[in-house]
Amino acid sequence: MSQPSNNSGSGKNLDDLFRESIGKQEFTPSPGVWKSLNLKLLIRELKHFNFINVSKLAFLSTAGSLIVVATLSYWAFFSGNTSTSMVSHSVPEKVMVPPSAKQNISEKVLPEPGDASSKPLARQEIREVKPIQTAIAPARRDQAGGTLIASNARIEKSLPVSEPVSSQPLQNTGETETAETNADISSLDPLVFSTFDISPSLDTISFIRSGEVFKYVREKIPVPSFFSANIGVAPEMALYHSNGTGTTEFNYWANAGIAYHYSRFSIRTGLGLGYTYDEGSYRIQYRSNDSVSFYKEVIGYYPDPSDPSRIIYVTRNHAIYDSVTHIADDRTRNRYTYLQIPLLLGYTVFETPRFCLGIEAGPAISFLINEKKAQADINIPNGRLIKLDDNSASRLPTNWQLWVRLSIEYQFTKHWGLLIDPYYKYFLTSPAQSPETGNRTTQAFGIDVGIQYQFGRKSIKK
Amino acid sequence: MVIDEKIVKDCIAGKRQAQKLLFDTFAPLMLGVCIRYCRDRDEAEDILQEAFIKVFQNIHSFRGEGSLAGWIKRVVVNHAINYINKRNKIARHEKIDEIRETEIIDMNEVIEFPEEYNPALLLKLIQELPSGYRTVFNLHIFEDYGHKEIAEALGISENTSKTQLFKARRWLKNKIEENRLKKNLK
Repeated sequence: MSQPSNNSGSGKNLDDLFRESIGKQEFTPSPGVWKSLNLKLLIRELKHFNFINVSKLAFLSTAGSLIVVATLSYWAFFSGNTSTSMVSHSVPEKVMVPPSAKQNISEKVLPEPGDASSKPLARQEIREVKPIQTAIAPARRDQAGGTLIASNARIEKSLPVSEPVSSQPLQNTGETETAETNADISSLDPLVFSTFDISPSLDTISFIRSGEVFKYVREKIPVPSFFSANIGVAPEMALYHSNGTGTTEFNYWANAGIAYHYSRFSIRTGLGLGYTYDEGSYRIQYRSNDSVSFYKEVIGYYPDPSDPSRIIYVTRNHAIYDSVTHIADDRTRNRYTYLQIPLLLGYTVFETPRFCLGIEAGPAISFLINEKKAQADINIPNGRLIKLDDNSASRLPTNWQLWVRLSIEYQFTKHWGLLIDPYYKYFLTSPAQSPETGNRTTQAFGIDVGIQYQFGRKSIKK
Repeated sequence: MVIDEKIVKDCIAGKRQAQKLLFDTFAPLMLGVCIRYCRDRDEAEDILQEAFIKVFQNIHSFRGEGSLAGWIKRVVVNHAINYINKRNKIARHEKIDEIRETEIIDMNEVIEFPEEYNPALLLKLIQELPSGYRTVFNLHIFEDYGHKEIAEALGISENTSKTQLFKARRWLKNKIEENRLKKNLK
């Protein structure tokens, strides 16, 4: 670097005047500068996947949630629309079969009229060993899901032309026959039936009863999938804890969210705006002139009238003042405004047409968007302030939490429902840092009460 | 506040607390630098913010050979120059075109001033300088740039840099004289 021209003169040269006056001038930036810078750095980190400022636990929980979501999505969308979710039906069937014992029977199950999702089954060769009987279709449990399975599908039995036709009466005398019944499942004797599925298939259950082959078609019912939007308010109790001491504060949140429900699973996200509170702490050091002692001034004396050998002194008390340094602590209540974004995975545990109970869990991130700190109350009569230290825990710009919540839903119309969700938050990263006590562990309990609107629902909950 | 090697390493690792500590330590001085290049504080804070993003992006290139404050100041000044270049590209070229080489006169002219000028007034005068004058004046007086370096940084000729500096000084001198006269009249 070359040196600037060195002017000389009797007074101050212009270059030196400026250089010395404002060359090292300092200005305190506005608080918003760091906030904005911090946000820009965070956005840049997110773009470049630099998650170093996110605690490992928060990162793992988010990554784990994403893996679960991806797995569920894959399972939901690639297991095909022919889901095996079954619903019990009280319409079992009774089949009349021709008395063509010991012959090959070719079966073909026809789809239920109006059931677009059902598909005709492939032809199957099943060997009969006993004469036909009239039977009533039983109900049974699906081995995989434990769901009650039966069918009200029509069964059509086709007999090959080459086979001899039975002379026994049939409901329909042709190459095919169809039969249906409304008998009660509960009246069936399960011991009459074979206990195994003789031709396992996703679409049907086949078994033998008294030598007769029965085939039950799994009914294809669309898996309930829909979106829901909700708004609500949540009073919350936060427990701050550090170095063996704890404080409790009440916070208030307004939440809005959207969820996608698929079968019993759901994924929920949204935005929450909350006022949270925390204790502020100031240490006030002041000096005042205090009375530390007193002395007695003798203002007169006289002999004791009763005993002249004694002198009685007349005195007056005088206070002794000294400059004394005091230290006082002042507690205040600070308010912080946060914006939070949760990502929750849910599972419905119990469900009726109007009532639904589920559990949701997942990570959430909160951004500090505003803080309002109360000033210390400095009231020093006859004294002067020496030092004021703000020992309040400073709030960090972001924090991560793990949420667990119980989702209680009451559906009062087809679309509208009431939500009551008690929840628990564990803060994976501390929301505040105190110069005296370090990071603060925080937990919170609350209850989110609001309304929910369901839309895009393809089937009604049973 | 002493910024030690560990804090620099933490900044390289992207740890936010270390970045904030670095910002809190150097931002006041750097804002003083930025304010000299701008007309107002808001603009200076914008430059400061963007400059610190560059500082955090490039802090790995700081080898500890000089002072960290000096390195950060260079980043801030370079960013301020780029910012001003982008903003004032057209305006500056127009002004430069007006300057004739014949206007380059004695650069060693002595201009004397009393010492009682307060810093706020001097800063205000710098902020009121035309943008081209202000940038050259700042680079030459406060950053110790030679005319060759100023010419390279701003994409102008050395003579133009000299002219701008001369005019900046003359402009400031006139303003200070005006202020002194006003003060005397009062």
